[in-house]
Amino acid sequence: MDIREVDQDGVLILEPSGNIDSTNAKQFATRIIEAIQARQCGVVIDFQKIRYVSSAGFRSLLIIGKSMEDSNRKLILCGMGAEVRRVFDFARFDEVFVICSSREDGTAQAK
Amino acid sequence: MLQCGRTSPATDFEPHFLLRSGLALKKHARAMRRSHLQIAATQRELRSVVAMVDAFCEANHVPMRLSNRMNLALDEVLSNIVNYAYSASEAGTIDVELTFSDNKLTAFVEDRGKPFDPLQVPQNDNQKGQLKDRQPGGLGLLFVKRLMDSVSYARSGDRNRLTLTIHLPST
Repeated sequence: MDIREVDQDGVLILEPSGNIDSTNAKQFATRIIEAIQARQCGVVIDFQKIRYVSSAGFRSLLIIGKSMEDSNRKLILCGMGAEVRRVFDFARFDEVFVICSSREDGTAQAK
Repeated sequence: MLQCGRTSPATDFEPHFLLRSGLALKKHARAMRRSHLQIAATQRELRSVVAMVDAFCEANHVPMRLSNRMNLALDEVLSNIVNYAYSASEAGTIDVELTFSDNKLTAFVEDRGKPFDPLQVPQNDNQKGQLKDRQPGGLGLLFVKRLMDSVSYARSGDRNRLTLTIHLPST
């Protein structure tokens, strides 16, 4: 899985692409957690290049979220298309994570 | 035998055969109406199903948001079969068939594992609240039910057969 990393205004922005499903969700969690542990700042995961996230991906997000919470850091999600967002709403993950529409908002909130 | 079609009255079998294959070819040229794949019941093999769904949907002009929905639902259903349908010593298989007709995209999923009707699994109610209140699990079936227009299960002989359908908006 391709995950782009960008440092912007003291925030780490991670931009995965493709789909997050049972075939790559573990790899997704491992890669994101490695990137997060290499820094001490707030983190934004930008979903603009994600086609869909299945329940395996949601499981990974819980693991990633707990890892961030343990180290007392902010994790913001952003950039979801309507279809991806719909599934997050089914899962009521808007109660778990702060979800912003734009990367700018996400970056501001992760500071 | 080669000349027999031209010089002798055709047998019953030949014209039917020619007609059928001719039609099949014609249909194939327009769009794939049916696509089938048998895979080993392993996680790794699920990628080939995604590729099949993408190609099938593209050939039938199914919008990507709907092919994504079908791929998501199939990931839930197929990973469940991979993890639970067969015992570790069994070399299980999964059949996935896609059809497109009457503006309906349908996936038929069959396995020969132990009888299991996912629609009978009670939907647990713990999926709300903050991160500290969440346990993994229970979302897959919720997604399938919400994303598909219909889902049905049948046990047929030694097979579990799950049918997932999406209705396309009429144009």
